[in-house]
Amino acid sequence: MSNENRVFITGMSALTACGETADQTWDAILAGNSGIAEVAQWDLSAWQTRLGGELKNFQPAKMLPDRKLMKVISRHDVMGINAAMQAVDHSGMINYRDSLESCELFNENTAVYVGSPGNKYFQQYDFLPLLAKTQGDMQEFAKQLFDEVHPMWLLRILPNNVLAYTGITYGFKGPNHNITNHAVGGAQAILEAYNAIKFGQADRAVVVAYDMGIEPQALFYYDRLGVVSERHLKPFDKEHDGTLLAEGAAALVLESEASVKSRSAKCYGEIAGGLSASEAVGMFSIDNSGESLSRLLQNTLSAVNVAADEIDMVVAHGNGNKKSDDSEAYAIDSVFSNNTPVTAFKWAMGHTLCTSGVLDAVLTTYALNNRCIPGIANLQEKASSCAQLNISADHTPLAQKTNYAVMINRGFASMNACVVIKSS
Amino acid sequence: MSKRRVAITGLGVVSPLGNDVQSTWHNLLAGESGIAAIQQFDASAFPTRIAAEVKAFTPTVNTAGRHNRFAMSFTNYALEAAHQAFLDAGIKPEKYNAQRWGVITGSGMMTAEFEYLQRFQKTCAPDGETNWTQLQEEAHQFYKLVDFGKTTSNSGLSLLIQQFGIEGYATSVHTACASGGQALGLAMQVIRRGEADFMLAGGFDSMINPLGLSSFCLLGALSTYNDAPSTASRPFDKTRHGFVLGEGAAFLVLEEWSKAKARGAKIYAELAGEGNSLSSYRITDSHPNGDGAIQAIERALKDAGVRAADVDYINAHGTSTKMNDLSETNAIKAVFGERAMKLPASSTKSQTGHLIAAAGALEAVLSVLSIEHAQIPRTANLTTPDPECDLDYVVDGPREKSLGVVLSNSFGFGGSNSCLLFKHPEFEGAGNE
Repeated sequence: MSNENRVFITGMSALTACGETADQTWDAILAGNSGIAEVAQWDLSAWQTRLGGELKNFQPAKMLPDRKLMKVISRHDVMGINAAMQAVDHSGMINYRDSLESCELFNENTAVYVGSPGNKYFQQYDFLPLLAKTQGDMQEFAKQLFDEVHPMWLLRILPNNVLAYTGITYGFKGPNHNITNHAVGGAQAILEAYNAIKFGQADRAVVVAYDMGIEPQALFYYDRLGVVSERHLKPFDKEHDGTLLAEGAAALVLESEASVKSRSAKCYGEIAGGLSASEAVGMFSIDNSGESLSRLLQNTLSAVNVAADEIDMVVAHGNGNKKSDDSEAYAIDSVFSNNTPVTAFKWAMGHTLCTSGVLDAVLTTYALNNRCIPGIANLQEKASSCAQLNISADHTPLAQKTNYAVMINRGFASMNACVVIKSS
Repeated sequence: MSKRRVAITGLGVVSPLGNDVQSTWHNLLAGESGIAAIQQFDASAFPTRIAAEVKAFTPTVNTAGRHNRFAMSFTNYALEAAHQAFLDAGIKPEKYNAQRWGVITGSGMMTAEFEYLQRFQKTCAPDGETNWTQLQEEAHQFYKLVDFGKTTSNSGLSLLIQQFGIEGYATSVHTACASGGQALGLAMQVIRRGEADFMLAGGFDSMINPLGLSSFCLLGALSTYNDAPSTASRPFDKTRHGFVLGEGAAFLVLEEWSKAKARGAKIYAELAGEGNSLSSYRITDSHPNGDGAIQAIERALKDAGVRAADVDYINAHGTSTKMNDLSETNAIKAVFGERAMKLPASSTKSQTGHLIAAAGALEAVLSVLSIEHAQIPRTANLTTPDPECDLDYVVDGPREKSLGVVLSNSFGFGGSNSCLLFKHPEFEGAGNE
C-alpha cells in the first residue's frame, strides 16, 4: 500500500490546570505537581464536591487573534482557538507557507479536525433573566427577547466555533470535522485527521480539542451520577473513588511525510494509527468485564501491525473511577505482559473530557521525546483489582531508540478509542 | 488503490412532509408544503411564527424501550428513521456482525429543552442570576438523571447504539447545517477504509422550540412571511429573505458494495464521493463568489472519479437566504461553466423547510429517490426571478429524467461545506473505473 501516507506530529500545545502551555503541563507532571484545586470561578462553597482542574491564568483577550472575538464566542472556545494557535506556531508551518509564491494550494490542503464538547449549560444562562421576568408567558417572552438577550447569542454557542475560527485565522480550507462525542471526541478527531492524511485527502491537519467539565451544572450531574471524588483523582490506587473534572484545550499539527520534507519540519512523533468502538452497554454504563476494551486494543494492534510486546508504554485513560479503572486494568493486562509500563496523566490536571484524547496524545509524545515515562505522582498503593499493572509513582526511563506507545481514551455512550504513537 | 465501494441499501425519514420515506416523497412531488404556523408552543408574538414541523408523530412500539428515556422529542425522530432504514435494507446488526456495524449521526445542538431551562431557572435562578447554593439545597426535587442524559452531546448517538446493538465505529459530528452531509461522507470513508462493512448514518434535529426560534429571530435569519407559510421558503427567488426552520430525521444504511451484491440487496444508489471543505470566510455568510462551496463540489467529483459533464442533477443547499442562494449559484457556475445554465439544480427546502443538522441527510435520501424514480423535484415558490440567480432551478417540475449522477450540497454556519455524489447503481460514466 505504497500510496498510503505516513502521518507525523509537528506541532503540539496544551492549556491545562497545570499551565497554559504544553511545556508547563509536562514540567508539572515531571515535578509531581497537580493543578487540582477548589473551583474558583463560581461560588461553590456550599458544595461537598468542588475540586476541579481550572486554568489559572485565563486572560481571554490576550489569548485570541482578535479580542473583538470575545463578543461572539464562549469561554471554552477561547481555549480551543488558543490551543490551535499555539500548535500552529509550534509547527512553524505559517513561516513556510508565507514563503511560498502562492499559499492557495497549501491552504486548500490543510485540514482542521476538532473534538468539540457540543453545548454547555452556562451558554443558556443568558436566557435566565428573561425567563425570570416573563414567568412562562410566551407573549412577554417574545416581546422582551430583543432587549434581554444578545443578538449574536446563537453564534456564541455554536459547537463549531473553534473549527470555524481556526480556519478563518489562517485561511485553511481543507477537509474538516467537528466531532461531538463526549470524552472520545478528541481522540476521534486525531484518528480522522490521521486517516484524511493517510489517504491523501489532506497534506496536513490542525487537530484541536477543548472542553469545560467544571461548570457547576455539569459538576452537579457528574456528582449525582456518582463518578466524581470529593478528595482526589488517584487512578488505579487503592483509594480511587472517582474522577475530577477539568477544563482545558490541546492541539496537534499532523503532516504527511511529503509535507514534512518540503519544509524540513521537525517531527516529534508519528501517529501509527488507531481505532474506536462502542461497547454498546449504555449512556452512562461501561462494560465492567473490560472485554470490549481488550478487543479494541487487540484490533488496534493488528490494524497498525504492531505486536503487543513492541509496545513500550501504555497511557491509560486512568480517570480514577473505580469501574473504569478496574475494567481498563483488566483490558491492559489481557493484552500486554506484566512488564509493559503503564501510566496515566489525569491525576495532574483532572479529566478534561473531550480534550483528554488530544491532551494525552501531546503528553505521550512528550514522554517519547524525553525517553521518560512519567510516574503517577499520587500513587501510593495499587488497588487489588489493578495489582497486575506495571505502574509506579516514579518515572521510568525509555531506553530504546524507537518506541511505540498506545493510549486509551473512554467516554459516555460506552465509547473507547485507542491511538498508537511512535517516537520519531 | 482500488476503493471499497459503498452501496445505499436502506432509507428512513421523519420529515415535515411525512413520517416515512414514501409519504415524504409523494408529498414532495405533489407540491405539498410542510410549512405552517408553529403548533408546538405559542409562537404568536415572535417575528417568525411559522416552521416546518413534523406532524402527528408518535414513536412506534418498535423504538419504545428502556433506552429512549434519554430521548429528546427529536431523538425519537432519529430512532424511528433508523428503524425504517434497517427495515428497508432488510439487514440490521446481529450479535455475530455487530462489530462490523458503525453509526454516525449529524447531531443538532443539544441545548436544553425549554421546560427544563424553566425548571432550572425557578429552582436556582429566581431573579435571573444563578445561585449554586440553592441548586444543592433543591437538589432532591431538581435532580433527574434523564435531564443529564438528554443534554449530553452524544445522547442521540448513544440511543441509536443501544437500540440497535451497534458495536463498531460510532461518532457524532456537528457542523451546523452541514452536519448531515458530513456524517454521510464520513460514513462512506469508514467503509472505504475497511473499518466497518455496514453503517447507519444520517442526521436529526429540531430547533423549533422557544430557544431555537429565539436564536434565529435574534439573528434575523428566518423568513417572516408569516401570512403565507407555504410560500415562505422561496430559494433563489428575488424576494427571498430568510430560511424556514424545519425538523426531523433521516438515516441511510450504507453497505460495502460486494456484501450488498452478495446478499442480493436492492441497491438504491452508490455513495461514490464526498467533497468536504472549509470556507474560512465568515461565520454566517458564504463567500459571494462561491469559494468554499466550489472546492466541496470539485472534491466530490474528483473523489468519485466523475467528470463534471456527467452530473445530471444537483439537490442544492438553497436555503432561501440572500447570501447562500447567490453564493451557491456562483459556485455551480464556477464548477460547471457554460453547462451550469442547463444543469437542473433545485432546492427541496422550498417545501421541507431547513432541517439544520438533518438537512443534508434528508436531502441525501431525496437525491437517492430522484435517481430511483427518475424524477427531479422542483424548486417551489420561485415566482420572481432574481437576475443574479439564473440557473435551471426546475421551477416547472417535478421533471422526469433518467439520472446517472446526482450531487447534494450542504453548507453550514461556521463555513463547513459538504457535497455528496450519488451514482445510479448501473451508471457507467466515461470516468468510471
